[in-house]
Amino acid sequence: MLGPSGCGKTTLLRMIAGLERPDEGRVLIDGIEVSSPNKMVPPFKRKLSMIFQDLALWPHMTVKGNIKFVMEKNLTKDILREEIHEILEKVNLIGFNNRYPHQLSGGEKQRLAIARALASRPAYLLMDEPFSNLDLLLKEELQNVVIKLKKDSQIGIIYVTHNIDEALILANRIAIMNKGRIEQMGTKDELLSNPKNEFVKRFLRVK
Amino acid sequence: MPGPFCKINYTLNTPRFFNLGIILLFIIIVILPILFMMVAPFWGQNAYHLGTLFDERHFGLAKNSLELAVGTICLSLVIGIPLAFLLSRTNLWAKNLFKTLYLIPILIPPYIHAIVWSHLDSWISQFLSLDIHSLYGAIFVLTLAYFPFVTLMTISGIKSIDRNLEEASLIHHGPWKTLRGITLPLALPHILSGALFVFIFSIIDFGVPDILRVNVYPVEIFIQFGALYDERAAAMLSFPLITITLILVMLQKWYMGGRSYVNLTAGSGKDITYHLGIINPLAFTFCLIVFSLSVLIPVAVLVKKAGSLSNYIRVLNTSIDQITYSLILAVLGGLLALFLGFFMSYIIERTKSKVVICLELASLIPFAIPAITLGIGLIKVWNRPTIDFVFRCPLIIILGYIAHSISFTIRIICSGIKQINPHLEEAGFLGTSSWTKVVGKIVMALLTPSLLVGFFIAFILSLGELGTTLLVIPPGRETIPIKIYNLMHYGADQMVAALCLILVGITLAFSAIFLGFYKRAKMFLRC
Repeated sequence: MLGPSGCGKTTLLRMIAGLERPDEGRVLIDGIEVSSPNKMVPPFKRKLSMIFQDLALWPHMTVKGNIKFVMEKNLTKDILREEIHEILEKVNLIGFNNRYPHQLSGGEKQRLAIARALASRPAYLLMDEPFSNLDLLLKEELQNVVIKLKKDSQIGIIYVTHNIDEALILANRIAIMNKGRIEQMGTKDELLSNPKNEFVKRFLRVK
Repeated sequence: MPGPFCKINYTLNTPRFFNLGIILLFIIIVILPILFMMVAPFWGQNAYHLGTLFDERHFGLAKNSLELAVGTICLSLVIGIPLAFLLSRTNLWAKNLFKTLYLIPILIPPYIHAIVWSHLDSWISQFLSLDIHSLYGAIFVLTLAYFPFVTLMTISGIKSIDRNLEEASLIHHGPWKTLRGITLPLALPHILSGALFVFIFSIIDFGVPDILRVNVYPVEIFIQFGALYDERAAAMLSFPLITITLILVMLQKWYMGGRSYVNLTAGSGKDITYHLGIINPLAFTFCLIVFSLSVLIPVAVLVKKAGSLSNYIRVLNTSIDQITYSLILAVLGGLLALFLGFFMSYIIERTKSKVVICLELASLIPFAIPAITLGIGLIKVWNRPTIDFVFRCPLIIILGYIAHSISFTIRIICSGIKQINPHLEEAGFLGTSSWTKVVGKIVMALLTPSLLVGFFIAFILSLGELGTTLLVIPPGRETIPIKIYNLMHYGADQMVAALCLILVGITLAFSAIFLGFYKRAKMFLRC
């Protein structure tokens, strides 16, 4: 989801997550209606995960606690330990189990947010400009984590950003939003070669 | 939540002599009487030694006092926390009405709750098999008076939680697990602070245990000083009370760090709302019972006891002097507490020095002082040659009011100053050399809502103050609480009830006026 600030990207993401109720229209996940003005499937029944812009790491829980909190509750102790280890390994946070979020660096916090999002084994992962406040090097490092995640797992990722370069690097398909509406959706090449209107053209800086 | 702006690294631009004057005033009015009570037992001939505190009589008092305070905390938490969650996170029926009303019990002085419930003694013992004139009765009454502190602080804590932290949990779990796992632990510092306020207010309260005949420290202090004229024994009895409460206040200060106690700006954002569904009637009934016990029943009992309208007119006619006297003293007490509180807060928040840390800690001390102890301290400081004119005029009552309410005023104003960007003042100092202009037109203007709250709390505390006034009031004069207390001992129930209602009425009327001003100030600043 690509668009200028205030165009409604985050609101759309929150509606998909079930954190906001739409005034009109419907939200369907895998063909099943989950949101409409009269119907709201609770967020935790949508098999989604979300990485917030400010990460929303629970400050009173350790790295392990943050991950454990979202995992299925009927797992045995051994399986739980194994799974936590596996997830931490995936995001390169082994050895950080007992640290609190405030004891982590910026990049480690981002990786913990990704780890927590994966821990519940979601079908879809929603990402709300998670790397917007990072320096270029860290951003590149974490973008690679997302690209690897996309390759290795079967999770569908909806990534919100206002940064065109980021969208072009990360996305298979890009939806361009303006004033609460999707102006055009397609692959990077489709959008660049055939912008539908003046806004898309100007936004993508197509000559 | 810590204030967004840290202390600025330059010397305050208010003149040094002015700051020293303010600090000196604070020490003379607030600290000196307290210091006297801390030192008196161990001074001069026949000095007490600490071992006295561990004899059987002191042990019994300590046990009663602690049981009273801990019992009140437990019951206040049981009522206050669910109420806070219902009012801040659910679609409870008549939520806005309850949100407006839940603070009313604090506005009714605790001794009025005690008077009401002692009238209902036979009814309570019949239905609840509880003797109101007992420790458990006092716990029940103090809970009804003080549980809103827990609710207020819990709501404040919940409002200061970043919404995303709860939503990050709601993606994976339902509301119940989110409440238990995220909301409650994150609001815990505020909840514990609310509990601590309840503990301190219960353990230092004089009116309720005195009326319900429960022997705790403040009652015994009053007996030692008022009946046996033994000020050393009274001071000695104050010692453990002051020590315990001071340690707890300091611990709380350390635990809360830079967090605001009460979030004055809370409620501006969109809140998460859980739908109660079929349990909404149950939750509504819970709130209704709490409101009935803490407001409706007390007021109804007082109305019934006071009798016909002619009784109110008679009481008004015979008490108009006391009402005027109380209002004048409370307004003066509130204004002076506000003046001293504002400049103390400004010094605390806008300077970086070790002295300031001491001042900040010293400003917490009055929280921990029983009103009776403060009264004795004031007498001992001001009832001496050359300065005894203070003791012989109403000024002594006003000094008592200031000392009694200054901790609250300072905490509230400090919290407000933390939210003001120091650059706004710096820009002012670049444009003018007049510090009064910067403080008056920038700082005080931006702080208007906090100043209003600070004044209001000092005024309400002063209007209902009993313990200190009882000891320091000049002969021949009476405030409303003192008149209620005296009439109660003469058994004039009808007049007591009418006067209590008049006091509650005045308090509520002033609260409504305050709320109007407060909302206007907030709207103006938002514009």
